[in-house]
Amino acid sequence: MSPSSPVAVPDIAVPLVVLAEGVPRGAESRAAAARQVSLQPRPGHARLWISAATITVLLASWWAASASGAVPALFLPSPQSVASRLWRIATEGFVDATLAQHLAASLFRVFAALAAALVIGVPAGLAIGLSTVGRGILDPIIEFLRPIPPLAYLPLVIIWAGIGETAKVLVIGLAMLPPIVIATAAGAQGVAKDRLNIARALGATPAQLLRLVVLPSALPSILTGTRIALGAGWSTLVAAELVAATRGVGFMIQSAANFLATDVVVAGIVVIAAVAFALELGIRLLERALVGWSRHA
Amino acid sequence: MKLTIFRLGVSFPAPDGGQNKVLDDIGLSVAPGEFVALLGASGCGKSTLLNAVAGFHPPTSGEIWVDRRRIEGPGRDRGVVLQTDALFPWLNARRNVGFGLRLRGVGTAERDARAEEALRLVGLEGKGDHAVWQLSGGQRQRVSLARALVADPDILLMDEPLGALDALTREQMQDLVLGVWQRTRKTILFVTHGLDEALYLGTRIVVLAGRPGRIVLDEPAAFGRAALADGGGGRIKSTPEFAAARERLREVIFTGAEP
Repeated sequence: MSPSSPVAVPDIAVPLVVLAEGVPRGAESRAAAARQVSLQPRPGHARLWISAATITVLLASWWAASASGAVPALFLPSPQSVASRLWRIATEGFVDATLAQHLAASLFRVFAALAAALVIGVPAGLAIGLSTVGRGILDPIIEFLRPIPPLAYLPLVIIWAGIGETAKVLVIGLAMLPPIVIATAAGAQGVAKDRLNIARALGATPAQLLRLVVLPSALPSILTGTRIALGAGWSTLVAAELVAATRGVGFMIQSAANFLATDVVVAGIVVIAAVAFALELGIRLLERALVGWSRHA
Repeated sequence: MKLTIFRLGVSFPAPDGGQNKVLDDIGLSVAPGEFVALLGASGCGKSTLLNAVAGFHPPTSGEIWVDRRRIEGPGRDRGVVLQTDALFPWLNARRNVGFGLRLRGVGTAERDARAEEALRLVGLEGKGDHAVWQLSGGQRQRVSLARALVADPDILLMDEPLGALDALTREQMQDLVLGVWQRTRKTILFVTHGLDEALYLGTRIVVLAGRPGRIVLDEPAAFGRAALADGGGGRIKSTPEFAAARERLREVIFTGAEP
């Protein structure tokens, strides 16, 4: 955090554009990280200790910077004040809702968007991966949609869908769609030809091929896409809660910025990071349960 | 079940826009219960022939018949075992074997029972619960064989099924294949590039050579049946008769003509 930290800038739209533009790049690097992790052996204790030490040093410098008075609390509140503020948001609430209510509102939007993105994205990805016609129709649409920062189409979505819950879910869903479609298409294209042939020789109908061979083969890829999509969707949350929200973690941060309540802003950022981490962990557990076989293949 | 291949030709689109003729004017009639070892050097079209019989690739010319049905595509009457085991890694061994029954809507209990029976036939009793990755290469190929057998096909098409195995496992698997053939009396079309393997397994050796591939040799063989009477174990491979037959085959494959 530098003294020119974006949270103190009155016009909050500026830093948010930066945040939104970072989404596609962040999604790609996360995909790369996911591939690396699955290829490398499990990290040893040494790495855990180094990571723990790094976090400790960062927290200590944060504390030292605020305790020494080098940085005013308006720009950088102390760790203690953020922690106690977090506790108060959790128990008493902030802008008419407790932390749990803000979180529930945000999580509902992200998961509603995820459900919609999966319902549309998986069939679309299968169509791209399995059919030349499907690829011809859908590929340009996805390639057009993919690089657009969600904040760019937010105004259009609001004009179309109004300022209600639909618009927010739509913006998050649009950010989630490309990674799911692309991952599903890659998974469907990667189905081993021999497996398809064997299933056909055993009498599989096209529908059975899709359900019993293609989908299970593509599932690891679909889950990777879902993980990237969750990251992208969660990153888009603040943008989606920019307009006419009364609840949500992103909304909470923006209201706090208007009141220059920097400690709430930092607490909100910590919450967003923690939830993102929990979601990532959840998906990894799901992967282990559903497609554990793919780690041995 | 009688397999009849009539004037079969298969071409693939060539990079220059023309047609690359892989097989030309193949005629072959296989009697029920025959074990045909289809032998040839790399690129002679033997796998293409098997794929055409399996229905994976449509012939450019000619016809393939199983009894009185003309082959239009893949079907349950022809079981297939490939060089890659092509198992479904998300299913355990038993469910892999029962896959064909599941496609037909056979209930879980019956499916598992019949899969277990097929696993016993290939010497994998008690391995049904194993995940695919827990099995060795030879075991996987046996699961693959059991998966083809459980659908009770009339003809078994095997495309270099032992090609990816180590030499010792391959020898064991050859005896296993002979044993399965003896017990089930399936008609088998077995593609291989191994001279020993073809001579040891086949009751009939068919050699493909040239480009486009043609049948240059088609003759009966008796080593397989002798090996069975002998109790297997590959001992017959060290007899002078076997060595002589082997040399003759080698000649045919590389010159493309009968000596």
